[in-house]
Amino acid sequence: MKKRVFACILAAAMLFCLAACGGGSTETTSPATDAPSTDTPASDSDVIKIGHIVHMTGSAVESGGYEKNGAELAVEEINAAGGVNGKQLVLVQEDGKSTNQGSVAAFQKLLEDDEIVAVIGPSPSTQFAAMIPTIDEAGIPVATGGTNYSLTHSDCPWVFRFRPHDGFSAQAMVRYAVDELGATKIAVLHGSDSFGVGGYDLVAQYLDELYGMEPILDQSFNNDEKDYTAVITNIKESGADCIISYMAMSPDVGMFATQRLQQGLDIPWIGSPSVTAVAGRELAGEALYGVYAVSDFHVDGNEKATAFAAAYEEKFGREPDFYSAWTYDAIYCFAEAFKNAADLEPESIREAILALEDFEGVEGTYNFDENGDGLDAYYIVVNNENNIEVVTKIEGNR
Amino acid sequence: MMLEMKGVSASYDAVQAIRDVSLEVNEGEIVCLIGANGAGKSTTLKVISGLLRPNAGEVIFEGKQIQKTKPEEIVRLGISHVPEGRRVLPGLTVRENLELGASVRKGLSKADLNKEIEHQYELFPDLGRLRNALGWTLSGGQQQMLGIARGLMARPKMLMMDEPSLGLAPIIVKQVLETTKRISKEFGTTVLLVEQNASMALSISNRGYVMETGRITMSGTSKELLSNPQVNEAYLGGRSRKLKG
Amino acid sequence: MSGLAILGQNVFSGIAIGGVYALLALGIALIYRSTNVTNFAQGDITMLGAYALYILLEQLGLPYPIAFLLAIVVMGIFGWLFQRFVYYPLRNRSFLPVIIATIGAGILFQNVALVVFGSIPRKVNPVFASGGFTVGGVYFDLQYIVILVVTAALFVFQYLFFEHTSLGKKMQATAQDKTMAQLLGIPVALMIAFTFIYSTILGAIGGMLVAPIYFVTNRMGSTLGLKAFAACICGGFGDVRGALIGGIAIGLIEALGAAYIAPVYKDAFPFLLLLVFLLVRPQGIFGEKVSEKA
Repeated sequence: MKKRVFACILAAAMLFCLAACGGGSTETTSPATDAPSTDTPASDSDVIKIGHIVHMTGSAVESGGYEKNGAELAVEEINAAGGVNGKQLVLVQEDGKSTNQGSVAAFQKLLEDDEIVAVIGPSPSTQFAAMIPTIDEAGIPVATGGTNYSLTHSDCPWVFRFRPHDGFSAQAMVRYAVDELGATKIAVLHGSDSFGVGGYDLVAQYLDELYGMEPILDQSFNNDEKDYTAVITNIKESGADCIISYMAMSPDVGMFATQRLQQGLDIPWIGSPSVTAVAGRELAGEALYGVYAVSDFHVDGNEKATAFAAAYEEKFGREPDFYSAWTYDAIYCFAEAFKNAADLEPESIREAILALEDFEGVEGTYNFDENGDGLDAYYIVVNNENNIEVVTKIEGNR
Repeated sequence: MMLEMKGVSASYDAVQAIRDVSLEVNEGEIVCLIGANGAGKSTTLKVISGLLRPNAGEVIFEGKQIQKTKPEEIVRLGISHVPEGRRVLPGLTVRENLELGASVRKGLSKADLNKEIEHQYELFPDLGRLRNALGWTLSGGQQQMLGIARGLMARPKMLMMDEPSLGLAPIIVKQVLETTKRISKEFGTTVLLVEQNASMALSISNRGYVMETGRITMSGTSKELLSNPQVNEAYLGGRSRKLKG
Repeated sequence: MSGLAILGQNVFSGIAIGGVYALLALGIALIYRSTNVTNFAQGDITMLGAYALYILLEQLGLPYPIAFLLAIVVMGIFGWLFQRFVYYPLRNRSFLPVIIATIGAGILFQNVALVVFGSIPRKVNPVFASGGFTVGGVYFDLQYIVILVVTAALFVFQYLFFEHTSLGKKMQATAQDKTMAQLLGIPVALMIAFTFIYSTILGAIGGMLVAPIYFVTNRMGSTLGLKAFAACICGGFGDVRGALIGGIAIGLIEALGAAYIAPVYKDAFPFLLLLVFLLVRPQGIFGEKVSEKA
């Protein structure tokens, strides 16, 4: 009897722990995240507030850090140059906790502050997707760096994307794989989250539309996977001659890259932008040499990008990546829109963003369509002994 | 005097278990503590061996106060407690149980240890036969034998046994008590015996104490107690009278 | 790649990772046996072991054997502190407060690691730089072989130590009956401290072994710990053989399930096995010998 009670308690404790780990994150509270922090103390009339949902705890902390830095750098530069129409920008940061609930809760908390006129959302598409109903209800412009196609195609007029969506990245990868690498049997490796599954659907769609082909393997895995033996043996067995991957987490990229080579899987690999992220490269080292990726940001992409990279490195001591690039651009675009808009009502800001023409950002040249997509081009880059070099730039068909 | 308790009281949480208990055990004696279930006999032994700390009174062993000493140190002083319910270590073999019994003895050579274990096997032939069996596989009587033999392995000056007859068939009880007597003679070990089976206990002991609801109510030589009508009535079921008659 | 090679590859990695689960499970089992407490912080102790190796090896640049031994010493001390501050103050309470304390300690360790090391995964180099070799289409990663060898050696050590040394038998006696152990003159508190130290070292070694494969993060221990619990229950809680067999069974079932069913459900297979055991044979493969005591 006692043993049975004990077993039940154990099982309950496990469920508890599983639930706590669900969504690939542990509920953690980190210092100084509960209260929104404001950057500059200024009287209310002199400032324009922008909300920023940053993952300061949980599994997406790394990318969250880059996003935070990028936005802070932009705000600092704009304020140093006199602000927007004489007003200083203020960033109000809130922890999204790397979870869907956390992100929605953070957004709701930001909405409590009436002075916030626009919000920058978190990158992971999954969490942004969870926020969309609330965004629609709130009616306030929100920037996203999530690349899942549906984010700007769910009848919510308030979402603005500062990166090219996965439809373009899928096109770019498929085209490069088939036209330049001569691939005929493409295995698609993707996470089981909405980013990964959405990516697979788009690759399959464009393979069919552009070449009348089908992926030879649909291989999914869970974020935070540690042992890719099964994945690797499946790819080997499928006879694939090229891998296209949609992986959301840098450690996963590092682990797969390393184990793939150890187990002798050395076919060409084109990955979504995470393959070029600094964290993944630091972990994988040589294992990522020669791997291709689509990338929406490159330090040598344009003059602004180069200048941004220099400023970023000076301030934070690290190279920027696309996570910091898009939040940086989002702040600049918002600032430009605030400048041009008749007033700071949401509708006016929205119209001003849509009216931007050939706005030069560090990611590329922004022209927003009515869905809220600002960019459409991807670089194909290669990891040449840890230098990310541009191979070509592929514009997508909108 | 080997052991002396002076006005000892002890309780479990809020429940008073023994009250103002005083008793004496002299070297080489067999002393028994008899009384009904719950009278405080086992508690008395626990206080002596250090498992339970008294709230009042003194326990003096060979002139030294021990009421605040830890149980593992009291064993080293020479008091071996064979607790109620045998408490054979279930996952260890008979031999391992015996070896652990001697673990308090510093500087005991391997050869001497083996010799003493062999000696226990002579004393308790069943144990010799079952030397490699795990503790939990032994029968009740065998476990009792093992408990006593293990207690003896510490070479105690005083051996305390709690209800060695509990749950054993009468013939085995007799055997256990006879062995106890033999041990006392052979090793000169002082024995403090707790028993519900009063007639058995008194038949092998020199002196006895009677406990009732936490207090000592009577004491005397075993002969005196056996012939005491109150004791006879309460604990011997009047049988001794019949025997006498 | 032939079907046999695929099977071989997955069996190899399953057994190796299962070996790590077994080490953690052994630590949990030993503490359970001696204190009746389930240490839910075991997974996070694994994480701390991995960070200890990371600091000594990668940050201080010590040679592998020295870093490894030093990490064991440090984690041994940590194990003593853990029992002194998490278990010892609650030792006379029922098992529930202690279990909750261990869960709390685990969460604390994770968050302290997050504050100290941040969330960026740290890389630890494998024991042998050369990687591995291929036989019959199966890649034998040297780190996995190291895991297998160390696990096997520790289980042999475990057997020899517990069955053939006086200290081992005293620890067993403490596990089986604390009161009787005291009456035999065994310093019970010290034996329990030893048990915690040893179990912590086992968990830490597990962490050091997987560090080069998993990368080191503050969350690396949670899944490892849960799978080790599953291994404990499937094998028979508190049983040494059960920890070994259960750990390897969990490692194998997830590797083969991932290969032949779908990698997405990889983490579900061990818990499926756990559920089956809880329903059909809750006492696990080897039951619970100690429960025979009256």
